[in-house]
Amino acid sequence: MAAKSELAPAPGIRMDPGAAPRGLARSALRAGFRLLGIVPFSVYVLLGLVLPTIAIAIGAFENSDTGALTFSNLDVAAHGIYLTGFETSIKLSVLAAVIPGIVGFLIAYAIFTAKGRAGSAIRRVAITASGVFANFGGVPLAFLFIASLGTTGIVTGWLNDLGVNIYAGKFSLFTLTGVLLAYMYFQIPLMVLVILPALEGLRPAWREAASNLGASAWHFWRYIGGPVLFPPFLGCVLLLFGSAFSAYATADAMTAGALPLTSIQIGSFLNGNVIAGQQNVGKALGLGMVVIIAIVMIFYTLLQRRAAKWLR
Amino acid sequence: MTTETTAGDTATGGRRTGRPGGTKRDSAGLSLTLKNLHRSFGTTRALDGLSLDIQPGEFVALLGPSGCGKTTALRIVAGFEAADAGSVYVDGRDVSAIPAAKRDMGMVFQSYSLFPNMSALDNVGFGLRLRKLRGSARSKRALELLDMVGLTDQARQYPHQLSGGQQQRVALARALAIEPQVLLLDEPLSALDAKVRLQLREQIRALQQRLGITTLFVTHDQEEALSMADRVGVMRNGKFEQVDVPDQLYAHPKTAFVAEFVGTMNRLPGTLTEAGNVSVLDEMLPVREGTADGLAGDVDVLVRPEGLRIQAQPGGNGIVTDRAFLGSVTRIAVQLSGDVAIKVDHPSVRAGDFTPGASVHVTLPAGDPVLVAARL
Amino acid sequence: MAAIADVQAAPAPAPAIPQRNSRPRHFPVWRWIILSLAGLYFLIPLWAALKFAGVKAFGQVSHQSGFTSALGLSVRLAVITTVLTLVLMVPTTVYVHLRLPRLRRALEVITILPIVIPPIVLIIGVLQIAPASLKATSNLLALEYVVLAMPFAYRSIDTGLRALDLKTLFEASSSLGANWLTTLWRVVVPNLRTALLSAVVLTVALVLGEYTMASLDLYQTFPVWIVLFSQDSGPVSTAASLLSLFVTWVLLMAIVTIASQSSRRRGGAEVALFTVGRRETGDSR
Repeated sequence: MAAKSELAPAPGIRMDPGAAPRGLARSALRAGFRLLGIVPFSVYVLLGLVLPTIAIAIGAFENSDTGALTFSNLDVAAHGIYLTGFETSIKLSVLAAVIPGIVGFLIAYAIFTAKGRAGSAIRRVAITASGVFANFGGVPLAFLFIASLGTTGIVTGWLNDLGVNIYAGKFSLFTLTGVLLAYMYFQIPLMVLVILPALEGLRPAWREAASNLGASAWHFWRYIGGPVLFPPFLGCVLLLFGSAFSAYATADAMTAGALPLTSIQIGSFLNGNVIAGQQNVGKALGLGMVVIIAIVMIFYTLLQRRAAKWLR
Repeated sequence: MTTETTAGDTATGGRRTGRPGGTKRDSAGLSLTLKNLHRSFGTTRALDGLSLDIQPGEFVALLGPSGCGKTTALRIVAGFEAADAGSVYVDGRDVSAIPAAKRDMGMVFQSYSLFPNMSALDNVGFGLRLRKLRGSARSKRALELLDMVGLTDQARQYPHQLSGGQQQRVALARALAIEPQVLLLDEPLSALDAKVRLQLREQIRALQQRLGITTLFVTHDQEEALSMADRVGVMRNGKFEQVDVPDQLYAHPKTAFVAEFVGTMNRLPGTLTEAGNVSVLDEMLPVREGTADGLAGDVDVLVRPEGLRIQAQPGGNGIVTDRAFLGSVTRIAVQLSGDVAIKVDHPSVRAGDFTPGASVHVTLPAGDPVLVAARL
Repeated sequence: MAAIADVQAAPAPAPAIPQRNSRPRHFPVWRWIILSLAGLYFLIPLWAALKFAGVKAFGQVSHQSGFTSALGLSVRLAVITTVLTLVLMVPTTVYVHLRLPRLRRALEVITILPIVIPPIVLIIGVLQIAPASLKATSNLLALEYVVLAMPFAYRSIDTGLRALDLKTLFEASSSLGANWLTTLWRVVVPNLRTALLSAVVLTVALVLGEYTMASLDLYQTFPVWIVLFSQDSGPVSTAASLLSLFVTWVLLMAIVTIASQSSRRRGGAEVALFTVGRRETGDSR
């Protein structure tokens, strides 16, 4: 990168020994002016993102009534129903990351390797569809699933006609399974979209070279395809985790808060369903959520960095 | 099975003589035959009945413009594509039905074919690993090959740490590690810098001769093909226009396409006579047999720059428009009367008079029959 | 989606050229199985929702109380957000590309932040620190939506800029006498057409579908209205949802088609629009 040239004096300014200090000061000033260009953006990010986050972080440690420093909010957030909330959220997010991760990978591979004119048509359609479905979510999605699998849903009716009563057991859209089913609707397309660039980095020359050297499909995947694709695959699964973990609207619209999820619980604090003296617990929950996602995203970035080296 | 190949008994007419010392390996040199290959993609005919006999240990280049089918032919030989009709024979055996992984051919691709998650050593040893060679024996052999291509120090490096030329050398070592019956190269130098290209040309050729491996090399660069190969097959539209040793291709091209594709060719307007001669530049010259078939009246005469003579002469038939110093020879661009642009090569030591604007006279000395082609 | 269903009906590609060779053709059965199953999973809920809503409900959607004002609010917010986002992100990204390439890495990290700090958490902090005057209007939402839109607006513009040789364009333009702003407006922006289009559409889709922050900020945008109204009439709400999905779909189809047409000219991948950042924010989910 042209890092050094940013601070180097512009051509035309000769650096003679006597002028050295002035030249440096001038270039430092120039660098300072350069940074001015991103001031509007920085201010916006500061006001719109950083300050609210700091407010939450601080608030998590403040006593709701007195404002004094306390760990009680964190304490409450780490126990009881809130702990259950975290556990359920994490369980849901892991399932909503791994299953769509695998399914999404298979779909992506299926469309990626399709050949010929029909193949590229499939690819175009599938990518567009993925882009659209990855954006479905929240309210409309909730209604789709209520209409399909709710107690009076169409699919429920079909299954009843076939003699299968899915509500005979513990199933309901208000449970983890129900929400998971709905989450897959946008998680699978998301996986397809984010894993495709990695697949595109898988050069056909590798497959051909391997087979030329005597490798079967199994050999190729075991020695080359698998190792090369695993880091980005894992990274994308982490991304899906973050996506599922922070999702709010779908679960809210579908379950009306019946399922203990961290995001829903945070929302209820804003709706005023709080026990007195615990208003700031919501902020503690928020802080916890941010920490978890931040860790996940750090690993994601590291994995993508590694993948970029190999997949160029 | 050991195949005895002596330098002069191939169809090359003994152009490449002798081998730079060393013994032949047991796996060297099997014959490769392409028989009447046909391949179409939709309505496009990629290969139109392509046939070629390659002798054991011979280095044959497929030369042609893009789209002529040379890469398709190579991929069919490798087994990555299937011909619609026709067969491929290695050492007399039909391999057409054998899948690519079992054909035991070594292939070097144009670029980026090294496995990114393996070091150079592991890349080279990959084929050996598949053939169940144990760890230490494998490393030893892989190192031998890296040594052959001069990359011993880079054994532990990964592809993204190697330059383009180094990567292709590793790819070559990898292909040779399995002691293939045939070596296939798909424009391996096209993606490299000019200087690296030249170095690698020599290295590949030297290695091939030392090992005596039958080699099929695809390129669109005629200089590459002519300098490396025992024989060159010039292709166009899925067929061979001519298969011959390089100097024959250059001196005696059979068709106008070959003449213009290989080296530089001038086109001079001429007129065919009934006697089978052609009148060009105020001379009457015999026409090379077979090239005037189906032509009459106005034609173009094809002449190499070194086949023309030029002298300073006021009121001559042309004016110098430019000159390019090429070393021992200077290439002089001349505009002939009648608006014909040609290039004439002249020894540099005597080319002082030929500056832009100078009036010159260009002649075609009587000699070998000339090549004619339809007027463009 | 109807499009996927059509594809399944198409026969597997196998031109009937007489084969002398006995090399077995590679039949991708598994591919069709997976795509069929996926297609079913995605299409059935849509079909079910359609049946549930009934044809009548579609006609009634626009007549419901609150529909017009909710939709109007969403559209207004979408416009404000889009304009603000572009005005903020385009000059900044261009500037960083041109003058501060070292900061590109930092910028990438910053634009991942709205993903790490999900809207559900962000809204708490925002409501805490925002001045009362701002909280009283819905414009606060628009301002925060800009933050949410940042990741993909940045990514779209960044991708578009990478295809240009920005430095040369600016030098050429200034050698002809143009100043910074003119170059930006007349040279760079026209060359970013696809990137800008995708940024616009993604932002609009985001705002029209954003539920989390709007509902907790107690403003009745379109998605919020849909949920509230479902208590009155399920079918109508479902119909409204399907309509909003359809609109999103049309918009996105448009940009993917235009983008892949222009990127096919460059020989590039078709998916640059939808890389990391799309919708992990969970704001509409």
